[in-house]
Amino acid sequence: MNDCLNVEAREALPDLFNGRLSDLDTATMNAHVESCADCRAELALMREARSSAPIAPRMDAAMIASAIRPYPSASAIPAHRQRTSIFGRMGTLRIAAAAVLIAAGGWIVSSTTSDTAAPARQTANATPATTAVPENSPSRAASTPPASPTNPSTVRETEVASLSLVGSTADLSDADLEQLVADLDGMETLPSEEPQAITITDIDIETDNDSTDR
Amino acid sequence: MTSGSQGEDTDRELIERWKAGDSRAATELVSRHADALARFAVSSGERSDIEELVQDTFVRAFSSIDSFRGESTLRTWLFTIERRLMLDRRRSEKRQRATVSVSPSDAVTEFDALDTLVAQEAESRVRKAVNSLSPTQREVFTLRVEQGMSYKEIAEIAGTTEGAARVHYHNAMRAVKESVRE
Repeated sequence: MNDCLNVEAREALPDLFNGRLSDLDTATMNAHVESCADCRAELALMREARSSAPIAPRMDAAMIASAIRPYPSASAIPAHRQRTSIFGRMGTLRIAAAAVLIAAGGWIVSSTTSDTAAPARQTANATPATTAVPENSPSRAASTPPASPTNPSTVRETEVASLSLVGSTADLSDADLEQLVADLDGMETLPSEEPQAITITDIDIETDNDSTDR
Repeated sequence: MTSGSQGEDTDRELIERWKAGDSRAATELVSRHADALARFAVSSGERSDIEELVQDTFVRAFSSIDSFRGESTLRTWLFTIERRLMLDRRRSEKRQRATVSVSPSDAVTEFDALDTLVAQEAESRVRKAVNSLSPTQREVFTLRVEQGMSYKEIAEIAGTTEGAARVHYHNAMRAVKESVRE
């Protein structure tokens, strides 16, 4: 038994044997096999190989399938993951609620400590509305004193002001606070200026860079 | 020259139905592929607990169904999983043989039991020739001739290249021919 010299035909013999050829290719191959003893012998060998293959036991599909666990549906997702996804969808509301809580908390604390926190308020007054005034507001630029890294007292003062939400909200009147809360309620997301409460440090750095440049 | 895979879309539809909670879709997929997996296992030398092996294959496949990207047919993917399970079994069996000091295994020894099984059935020259192939050659020969897979599918299952699969097949065919001719 020799190999057929037609390599393409020899390559296609297993596909012909298994019925994996298109109709056209099947017809072409059948025509070739009729005239090629080597290919006929090889096909006969394949038939013999298949017919002599060890017999596999019949499979019980229902029994096998019974061991397959159901696909984890949405109801089977662990509770902590569900919570994450819910808050993921409600991210905007979550941020707005946090902002309102911060503002309300600041107002309550300031009202209860207004008598004893006079020095701190004075310090805060030195940098009024640090958190409430937008970064690019002219009033902010005017109200924020240039911090000098060479003056430790100035640095300490700005640090206190940057961390003091109480001071800035305490300066607001009740009407202003109500307006602030109402504004926060109406927000879909926090304004980009919101995180700027800590940017006084950045200002210090910029000042530092400026002084270095100079 | 192959006409391409058939039924792939339907397999995907069944997978989607199963994901949606239709357990009958899983049964349908099992009944569609289980016998082929069993034949492959037996042809590869597995001789016991075939149904358990096939069941493990399906359990693993369905538990990681999201990693099936559909780049191959479902059957090819199932064969890949089953082949890994068979390799694990053989490694485990080798360790067990080693612990009872049975003679060390080599490629032919692994399939002695299958040879015996085949001998009990009407043993043919071709089957003897196939059984005398190296494990890799026999696997490729079985997948190509008895399962009708393309070289691309064989390469995916065996973790090799199409070119290597082609070479293994032709070497196997040549060895079988020579064995039969003797």
